[in-house]
Amino acid sequence: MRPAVAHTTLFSYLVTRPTGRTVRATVERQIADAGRTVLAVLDLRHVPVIDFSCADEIVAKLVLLASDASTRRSFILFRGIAEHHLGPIDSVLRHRGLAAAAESADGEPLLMGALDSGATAVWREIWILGRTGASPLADRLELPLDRVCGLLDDLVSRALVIRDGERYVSLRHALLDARPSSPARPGGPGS
Amino acid sequence: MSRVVRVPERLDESSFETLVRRVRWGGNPKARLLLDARSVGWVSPYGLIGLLAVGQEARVRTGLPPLIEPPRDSEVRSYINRMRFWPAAARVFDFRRLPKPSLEVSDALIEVTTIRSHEDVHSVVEGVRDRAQRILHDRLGYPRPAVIHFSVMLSEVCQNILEHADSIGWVCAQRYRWQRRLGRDVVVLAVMDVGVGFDGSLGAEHARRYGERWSAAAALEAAFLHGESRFPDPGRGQGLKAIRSQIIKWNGAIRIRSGDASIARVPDWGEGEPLSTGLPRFPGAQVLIVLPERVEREERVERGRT
Repeated sequence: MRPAVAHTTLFSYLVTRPTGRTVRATVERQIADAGRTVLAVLDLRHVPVIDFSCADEIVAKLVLLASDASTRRSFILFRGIAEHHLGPIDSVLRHRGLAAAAESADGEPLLMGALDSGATAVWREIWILGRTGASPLADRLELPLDRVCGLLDDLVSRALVIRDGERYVSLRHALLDARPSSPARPGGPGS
Repeated sequence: MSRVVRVPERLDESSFETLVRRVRWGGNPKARLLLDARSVGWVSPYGLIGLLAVGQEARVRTGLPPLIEPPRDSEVRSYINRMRFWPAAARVFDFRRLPKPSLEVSDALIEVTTIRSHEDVHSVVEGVRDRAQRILHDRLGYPRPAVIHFSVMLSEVCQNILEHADSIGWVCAQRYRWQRRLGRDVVVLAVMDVGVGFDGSLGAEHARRYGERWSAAAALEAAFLHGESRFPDPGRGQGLKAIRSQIIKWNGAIRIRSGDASIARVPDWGEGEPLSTGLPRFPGAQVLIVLPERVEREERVERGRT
């Protein structure tokens, strides 16, 4: 499966719930308009402040939407995450028992929110490898195959990795592998 | 016929209670209020916007715009002028003559600002950055990221007015020296509204569960300690909890007054009770946050926590 990619680069202060709702609505519209599964990439590199309300409206609710398997239309990747974004984002995700895939401003993988250490280790391996199967992962992590398969199911259900037949693909790899379905365009008043 | 209420000479969070008591008790409650502030000799940010809150409450209750007699003391007059008190007061009080706007540059962290919409919150948060950098980092010794944490705190506490109070509110912040109380510089942030208050906001969702124990104090505990909100959305109510947690990290103080109760995080250097009841009833919520100048001992404790 190769999702379409929708980029949103945010620039301004992400504070207050109405601002968050507007940004989220823009991303949701991009997902709906694509007519197929979408990898939505939100770049926060130029966001000086994000508060808890906005983090909840944008990050937590988009992740919630993506992790609803019954309506799975999207995967969400956050980029340009800096130290000052992490506090509010991590907090709102943990509050809802969610986790989100991200890349720091330095290009390092970041798993934000609540995820157990086993699933986190598998997620990191997939990030490094880009695309891989359950058996190579079990070998690399020196874990039983059935345990790795259980952790992979969890990551897939949370939309933290993409399942492509017997292979598992990191969101970053999917981004690098895909051509944008449309030119990068601004997303809402924060853009 | 106006009802004259004398404003305490020193107006801060403590004497605000005296002012509320004087306004709420005695005299004809439907008469137009005249706040006599002529003898005021010192006023804190909390006291300053407290005047607006008291005026607004009287305006709503009586249906008549209240009057105010400005302080006579020239330093106090100059201070409240620099703090842009009068433009905000003009929306609350009936003036015969609005004082001339100040041409002096204010050294305040945030001048008196009316919060009516989310755009106002954006404006306050986006405007505070340089001053917060200068005051919190350069003067009070907070690390650079604290400027962003302060912005987040400011955003959440101002949004509280709009999301929960169904009313306008005000914000104001100033750095000054607490020589007697602490021997250090502090930043004092005050935020107030005269809306439905915490018990009014949370009541529809939570009062039934508490039964007869439901009160302003119970509502404050539910919101401040347990992060409960009037909204069924589980993502709500995190802002206040986050503010509390940040203030604990900085060994600061926070006190939220609502209805006839107040709840506080009292640091080792602070005074007062964590929970107070039986205060003179006043609508809305009144928040006081005090951030002390950093000292090495507290920095070590914070580093240990992170």
